[in-house]
Parts: sequence; C-alpha cells; structure tokens
Amino acid sequence: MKEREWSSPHGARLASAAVGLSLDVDEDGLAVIEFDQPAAQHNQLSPEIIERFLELIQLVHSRADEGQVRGLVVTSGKQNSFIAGVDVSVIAGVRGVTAARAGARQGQLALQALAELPVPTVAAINGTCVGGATELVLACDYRVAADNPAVLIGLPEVQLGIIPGFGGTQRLPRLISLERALPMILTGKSVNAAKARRIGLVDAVVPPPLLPREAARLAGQAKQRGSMMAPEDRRLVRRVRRWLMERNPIGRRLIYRQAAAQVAKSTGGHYPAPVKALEAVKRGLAMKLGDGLRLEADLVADVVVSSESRNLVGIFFMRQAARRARPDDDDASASASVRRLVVLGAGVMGGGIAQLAAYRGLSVRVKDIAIEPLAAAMKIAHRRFSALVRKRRVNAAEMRRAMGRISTTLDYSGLRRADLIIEAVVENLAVKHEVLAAAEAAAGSETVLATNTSSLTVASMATALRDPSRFVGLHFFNPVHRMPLVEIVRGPESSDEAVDTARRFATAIGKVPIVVGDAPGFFVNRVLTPYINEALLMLGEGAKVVEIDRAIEAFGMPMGPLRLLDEIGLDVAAKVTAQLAGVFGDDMPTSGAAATLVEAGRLGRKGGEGFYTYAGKGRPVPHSGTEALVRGEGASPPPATIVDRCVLGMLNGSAKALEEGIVPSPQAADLALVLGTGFAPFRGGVFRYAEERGAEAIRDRMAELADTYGPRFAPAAALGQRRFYPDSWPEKLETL
Amino acid sequence: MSSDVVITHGLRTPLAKAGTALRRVSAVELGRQVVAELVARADLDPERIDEVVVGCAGNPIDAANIGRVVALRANLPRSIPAMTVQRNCGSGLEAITTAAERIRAGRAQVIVAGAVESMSNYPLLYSAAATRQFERLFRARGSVARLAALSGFRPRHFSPDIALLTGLTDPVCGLNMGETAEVLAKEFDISRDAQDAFALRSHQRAVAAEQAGAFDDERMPLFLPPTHAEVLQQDVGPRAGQSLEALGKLRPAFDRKYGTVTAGNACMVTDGAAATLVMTEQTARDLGYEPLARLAGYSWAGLSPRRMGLGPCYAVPGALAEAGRTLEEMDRVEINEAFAAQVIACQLCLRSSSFARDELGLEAPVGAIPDERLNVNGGAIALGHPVGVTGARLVITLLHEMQRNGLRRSLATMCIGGGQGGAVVLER
Repeated sequence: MKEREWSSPHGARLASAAVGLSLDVDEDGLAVIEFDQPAAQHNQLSPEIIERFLELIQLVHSRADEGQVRGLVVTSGKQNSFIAGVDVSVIAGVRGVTAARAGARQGQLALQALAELPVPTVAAINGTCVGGATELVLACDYRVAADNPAVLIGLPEVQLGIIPGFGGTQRLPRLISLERALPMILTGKSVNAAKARRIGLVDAVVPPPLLPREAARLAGQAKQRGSMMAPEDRRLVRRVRRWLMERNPIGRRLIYRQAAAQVAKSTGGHYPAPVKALEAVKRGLAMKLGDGLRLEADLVADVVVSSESRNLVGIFFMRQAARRARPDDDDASASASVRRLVVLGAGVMGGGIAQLAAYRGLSVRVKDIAIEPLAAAMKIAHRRFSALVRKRRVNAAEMRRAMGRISTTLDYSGLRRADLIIEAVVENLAVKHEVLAAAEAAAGSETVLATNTSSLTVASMATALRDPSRFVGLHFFNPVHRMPLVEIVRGPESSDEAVDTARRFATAIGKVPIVVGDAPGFFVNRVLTPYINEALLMLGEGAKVVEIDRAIEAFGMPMGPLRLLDEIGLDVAAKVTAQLAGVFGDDMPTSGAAATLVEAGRLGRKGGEGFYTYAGKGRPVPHSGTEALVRGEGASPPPATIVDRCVLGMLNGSAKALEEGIVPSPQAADLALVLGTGFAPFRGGVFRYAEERGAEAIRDRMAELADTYGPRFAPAAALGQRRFYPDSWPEKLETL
Repeated sequence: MSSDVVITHGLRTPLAKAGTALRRVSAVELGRQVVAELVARADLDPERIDEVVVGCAGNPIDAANIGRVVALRANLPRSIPAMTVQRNCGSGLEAITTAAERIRAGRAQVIVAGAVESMSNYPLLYSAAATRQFERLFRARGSVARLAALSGFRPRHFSPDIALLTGLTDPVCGLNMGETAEVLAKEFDISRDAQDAFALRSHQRAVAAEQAGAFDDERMPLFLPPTHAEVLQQDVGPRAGQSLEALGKLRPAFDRKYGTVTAGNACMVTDGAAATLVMTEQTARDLGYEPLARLAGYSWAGLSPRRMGLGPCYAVPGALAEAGRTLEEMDRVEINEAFAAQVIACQLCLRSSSFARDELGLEAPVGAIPDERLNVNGGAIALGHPVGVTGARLVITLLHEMQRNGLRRSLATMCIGGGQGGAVVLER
C-alpha cells in the first residue's frame, strides 16, 4: 500500500518501476525517485538496483543541466520502510577481495553522482533506513524523516562483520561530528527520528502525512546548506566542546584512543570489523572525501572476505530461516497465531515470559497458587518495563498499557479462550501432571499447552493429558528477556499444528525458535553437559580455574565454563549432570566437583560464592577455597588442549544429537549453540568450527584425545560421514 | 419483557477507607483492574460487549468520561462505546439499571456495568473569586500588568474548596449528609445507643463474613500501582475489635450539642470499584453462562433532600411491584448503611401503616425487614461507602450471597444524596 502518490497528473514519468525504482518529474521541475521493489516487504539494494539508480541520477543530471529539473526527492513506496540496505545475499555472494572492492566502488560512485547533482537533493525517510540506505541519504543535501516509530536510521554493518562501504564511514562523521558518528559506526546501533534530529542526522522530523510536502519544500531550497545545525549544537557548551575535541589534533587523538579502547574491550580481539571501521574513519577524515572513499572500499574488501564476516552472515541467514516457520510465513501471520497467553507459575521463568509477551502486545494471564509470587512477578515486570522506559524503548503510556495486559489469578479461571498455555511450575513431575490436567480441563478445545521444563521430557508429562497432540515443549532460557533462543520440543505425540503455534508464538515475541527432539536436556543443555563436565574433569586433574576459563574465553566464548556454571547455579548444574549422566553412558566419567562445592555451601553467583567470589558490582575473583576442595595434583594443560577437550567434547555430543535426530541439521545446532550458550558467533557454531578446521584434522585430534583421556572422544559416526556446510556458505536458507 | 435481563458476573475490588491503602490508586486504575479481571474471569470475547456503562459520583477532572477511559485502559476494543452515569450515591446502581434499560430497548445484548470511586483523589479547588484572579493574571500582558494582577490576590484566595466536603453538602437544602441523618434521628427519636449497636453489628457481621470467606468470590486482589509489588486483598474497614464502649466515646460529628450521629455509626469515605456483566437471558445461554440472577424489578424515587435517608422507603414499593413480590418474600435485603440512624428509620417507616398511607398512598405497610435478613455480611459502616460504587457493590454482594446459600430473591436499596432512593429486586 502506498502512503502517498507522488506523481503529478501534469508530470511525466521518465522511468518505469519495473525493476523497483521509478523517476517522475512534475510540472514544477521536482524530480522524484521512488524505490518500490515489486512483491517485497522492503526495498533492498543490489548491483542491479544501484546501476539503475545511477542511470536515473545521470538522467536527472542532464535534465537539470537543461533547466527542466530544479530539485530531487528520493523516497520509498513501502509502508514504514525506506530501504533496508544492501541485500545480505549480495554480500554473501561476493567472492574475493577484488570483487568486494568493486562492489563497494560501484555503490560509492552512484552515491557520488547523487551528491554531485547540481540541484538540491532531499531524502524523504518514511521508515527503516539502514546500511546502504543510510549511506544513500547521507549523500543527499537534506534529509527529512517522518515522525514515525518505524524510522530507524543506522549503519549496522559491523554486526555482520563488515563495515559501511558506500561512504558511510566518511560522510557520517563529516556530517554529524566524530563523537556522534563513531558509536553508530562501531556498534551498529540505529537511532530513531527524534535522536536523528537531535544529532543533526536529519534536518527535520515531520508528521508522516506531510513528508512529501516537506521534502518537496526542501528540494526547492538552495543547494548549499544553510544554518541547519543540530539542535544539540545550538548550545554554546556543545559548540565549545566540539571545537576543543574535534577541531584540533589533540582532541581528535583522545576521541580515537577512547574509541579504540572501547572496541578492544567489546570485541575481545575476535572481531576485525570495528577495528577496520575505526581505521577507515580515522585515516579517511584526514583525507579528501574522494581518497577517503577509496580507502573505505579497500578496507571493506578486507573484511567482507574474512571468516568472521562469513560466519556472522551465515548466522544471520540461519536466524532468518529459524524465524520463518514455513517458507511462506511472514511476521504478520506469526503475531496473529497467539493473542492470548496463559502462564502457569509466576516464578522467574513464568514471570519473564509473561512480561515479554505483554511487551509484545499479547494479553497474558498468570496463575499461581499464592498471591506473593504473583506480586513478585508483577514487580519484576514493572522493573523491566521501567528499564525499557529509561532506555526510551517504550514511553510511559505504552508501559501502562503493557502492564495492563497482564492479569493474575489464583484459580483456573480465564483459560478457556487462551491460544497457548505455558506451564512454568516447579520441576516436579507429579505437580506438573496435576497442573497440566487442570489446565487442560479449563482450556478451550483449540488451546495449545506447553511446558517450559528444562529437566523433564515432554513425553513424561504428556501422560497427564487427554489430548497429548496439543502439547509441546517451549524451553526458554534465563533471563528470558535477554536470551534469544527458544527450544521448541516436539514430543512423540505433538501435532504439527501445536509445534507451529509454539514456533510462531516464539517468533512473535521476538525469539528465535529451533525445533528439537524430546530427549533429556533437549539439545542445548544436552551438549553443554560434556563441555562443562570436561572442564570439571580437567580441574580434578589439576588445571586451575582461571586457566580453564581464560583459554575458553580466548577461544571466543563470552565466559569460561566454570564461570558459566556459577551463573547457572552449581546446585542446578549438579542436578542436571546427575540426570544426564545416564544419557552419555559409561564413556563419560562424571565429575563430582560441582556437587562438592554445593556441599560446601557454594551455589554459584546467586549465593555470592562458587568457583568465583561475587562481591557487589566488581569483577568476580577466583574463590581461594576451590583448589583444596576439588583441584587435583597435576598441572594445567596448554590452552589448546583445554579448548579441544571442551569444544570437541561439545562437538561429539552435538554430532550424536544430530544422529539421534534431536536437532534437525548442523545449521540448527550451530544457531542453537550461538544463541543458547553464546558460542563464539564469529566461529559460526561448533559444526562450522569443525568444518573450518578440517574434518580430517578434527577426527585425528579426537582419536588422539580418545587415546589419552578415554573413549568419550571417539568421533561420533556423523563426524566421519559428511560435510556439514556447503561450499557456497554463507547462503540464504529456506528452512533450518 | 422485564424478566429477561440477567447478571452473569459481578466482581469488586477490596474497599479501603479514603487516605489509606488505595490513596495512590486513581479511579481509572481501580476501574481498569476490575473491568479487565471481570472480562478475563468470564472468558468473554470482548468483541461481544456492546457498551460499557460506568457509575461515578466524583468524576476525576482528567477523565471527563471515565467510563470510556476505564474501557480503553482495560484493553477493551476501541469500537465499544462507553459512558458515565451519575446519580450521586446511586451511580453504581444506575449503571446496572441503565444497562438493563438499553438491553430491554434492544439496543445492546451485553453490557459491562461498572462503578468507580476514588474519594482519596477528590481534588482541592480554587474558589470562584480566586479563579477570577487567576484569569486576570493569565490575561495580563507585560510585567506591570502582571504585577497589578498579582496584587489582586488575597490570602483567602489560596484557601481551597475541598471537593469532598462540598460534594457531601446538599446544594438545595444546605445540609450536609450527616446533618440529614441527624434530622431523621431526631424525628424518629433514634437513640445514640441504638445507632451504636447497629454500627457494632455491622462490624461484627463484616468480620464474620470475611472469616467465613463470604467475599472470596465477589472480591479480587488489587495490585497497587505503580510497581504492582503490593497487593490489597481484603477490605480495610471492618474492625474485629470494635466495641460499644469505643463507639460510645466518639463525639457527635454534625451536631455537637444534641447530636447522636458519630463517625462510628456513619459510613466511611472510601475508595473502590466494581463491575458486572449484564445481558439478556438468551445471550447468557448462548455464551454458556449460568446467570447469577435476573433483574426482576427496580425503581427510583424522589423525596425531600432534608430527609434523603428515607429514600429506600419510597423506592422499594415500586421495585417490588415490578417484580410482583412482597418484602416478606425477600430472602436477603441490603439497605446501604449511609448512617445507622437512617437505616433504622427506614426499617421503621417500611413497617409503618401511617407512613404507607400518608407518604406512599398504600393501604398496608410495605413490610418488616427482620434483622437476620438485613445486611447479613455487614454494611457500609464497616466496609465503607465508595459513593458511586456502593449501588453495584450491594448487588454484587447479594448475587454471591444468594448463590452461596441457594436463596431465590433479594432486594438492594439505598438512599441518595439530593433526596432520592433506588431499589433493585434480584431473583434466581
């Protein structure tokens, strides 16, 4: 649906919309280029589109020279979306440094042609404007944005392991100042319309219906920018600060040094893109724009072909495929599937799910057996919403509405019209049976029931139900609002419809669902067990806590396995280990280290003491009493051995899970590990890591480990059978 | 076709003396929670609701049509129209009878009839004289003119008009509500002891009802904004330790010299909200609901504002007549306890032949209400009187009392400031 018809009845259409962009010139000499790619939700840039765009710009240029065009507006025909940047498939398809540089240069030259038009140019930003689109609007003389929450302007390239390549690193700091541009370029975070106006990224924010008129008005102004200073800069303090910091070499050096330190801290040295982006800005700003652009193209080419970028792009595609339950699905149908949710049990998980669902617009009813946990859950929801208000993600009225979507109950009233009921009560089979049976009796005939269990199987609970086909697992991770993964557990009797409902629900509340098999620990906890157990075994053999964790963190995990155990809770871990011990059989000796610490009263972070000591907000320090209790006699193995024992243990567990059909594909497994455990995203997951290291090398290494440490390292059959990733990786996936 | 309007669900918040537990909860929020929970408990598709009618006596200035604001905040569909009704103390009852009338007129099938009152949040107002000074100030241009306007203010302009007190004073006869109760106490010679004994019984019955769980089905827990971390689960008013001795120590509040009406034998100024689902019997069947009761008859009547406490005596005969019932057939009766003196006076008048003849033009008295059928779970003296809510509260209490005890018929009636009475007969 179009927001507004641009072409005037008296005007002339100079180019048709067949390839997704059109050019019209009205009787007043206003030219309008409109992006509107047929049969797509968003406009995207590709070499074809860019080439077409350049042709239109050249056409406008010649008409302008003839005096027939006096100004140009660039706009979008999509609702709430301007241009969603360069199609990621295009980036994924680039092979080799030369091709990458050529791709960047093509975009740069087209935008340079836009910038050099002799008439005023205006971008009318009506919605999402990211990546290449932001670079396009930066090449215009004026930018005007609709006052619409859909307007998000940013350069998210670093999140895919690359850097802006169509001039973004050069034009953004020149336009809005170094201090404001660096955070946007180095973190990839977008800004909304109001912020964009404040920092001078757009010249005006107007009510959406007035966008065309305002854009046309600006296009009638002078080509040279007047005094359209960022509102922030109107304050003298700001101007002085800017002069002190940016207009002299010492201030600039300070800014760059701070930015470099920030980048080093946030990437841990594993992600080259922000480093390259900083280099592009720093060196480019000292050059003329044209030279800066060439430098940017060279740097882009370096990162596009990097393994880190290819793995991050791969994860992007896997994530997209996971959120699309079926190839024909879109977000609209996802949100329509579950509108009324019931959560049984107002604990940490139940309360977290309720808050998130209410935030995403669902009506939620939370049941518990006492009022206190309900009040606690409401309090936590309120705190969470308050945090969102502080971050300006919602306003006070939206928060009040969202809180108002949560109702509470002590009985089973108000369940009949629920689309989905999730039980999140204590992990006790008898209690679960009772609660599920009562919920089923109170629910409607179409209601899907789900369990958020982490330690029991769906099959063991399904026996309590009259209709087990409507029952699935919906395994959220803690904390619910932060962990993006949800394991959808297909029980032996779960229907496709029930699995679909659960999957769409997860997507609708912003999660990434992965369908897994109904085995103890499902997928993530199942393969986390050998990984953590191996760390504990090494500890028992004499490795130090810090050395184990440091080696794994250097590998790229957000935290080492022992630190992770503290987060999970040692009591929980000990219980899960005991439950899963049988699964891995005699091949895997189970360490009792966690249990020993629990006996000593050390429960992990929640109790203030585990492998580390937690005091206040400071960094945790290794607990001095660990060595005597659980550390063995020997010395720490070299870091490479620590990594191999943990990671290859996880690989073997994952391969077995793949063989047993617990996870559908190596891609699903890798995405689950990245999202569920924080497995180093730049490595692309455990199978991707194995693939990059070479199947043979992996098998040889595992045989070695098996000889030294035991048969648990004997490579699973799946590891010898096939490649896990196609040569063409990364590529767009239809399904996981 | 008076028989086919039924009430299927009724729910209320806990009631709290103004200035206590609910003082920071707005009338809108009280209404939001009770309406949302009513719809949730009923498993009702909100699209089935045709209209929302909310009674409120002291409408907050930031929610001019509070019925609409409550409906929207309760996340009901925007397409459902809503209005607010005001009949002072009868506003909550008016919401239900208005709903019934719209349903009988064929204009709606399902109506949420609710009531809200936050007497804690009644505002302080500027007097008309002060308002004129402010107008002058706002219109003044230039610093000299502004200074001149400022100089017009006098200290008395800053002494606020207390909406609560003004609202409880009859603008026609000039008496406040307590003074009208004194009029009845003296006219019917109702002693201080009789009033205090009545008040004590109200507390005792309310406490016993609480212990017996009589309010469990009609009352929801209320989460206190903004954090929602605290929950009010019970009514604040009833005092287990109330005694005649304690009541006897209180000084008359409205007539220091000859008065008998005290804070102890009068109702409390209170916050609360209530909501009911009103629909045709056929619709209830279609939706799978078991009606709590039929609205068998109702009536509104007017009388001298000075004797407003006798309002029930004028309204009850009409409601009974419409229902085709006698007072004796009522298994339970709720007369709102605005003041003990006023309820006792009503009992006297209803069984008086001369009152029936002279005031109502009836040959026989309306009837006697035995104490064991009257306000069996306590009344407003113990529970409180959130002015615009009480009418709905009385109905909701009777609905659940009848259901719990398998009773057939009941009567809710109340006096109304300004000189009116309202009465409703419920049957199942």
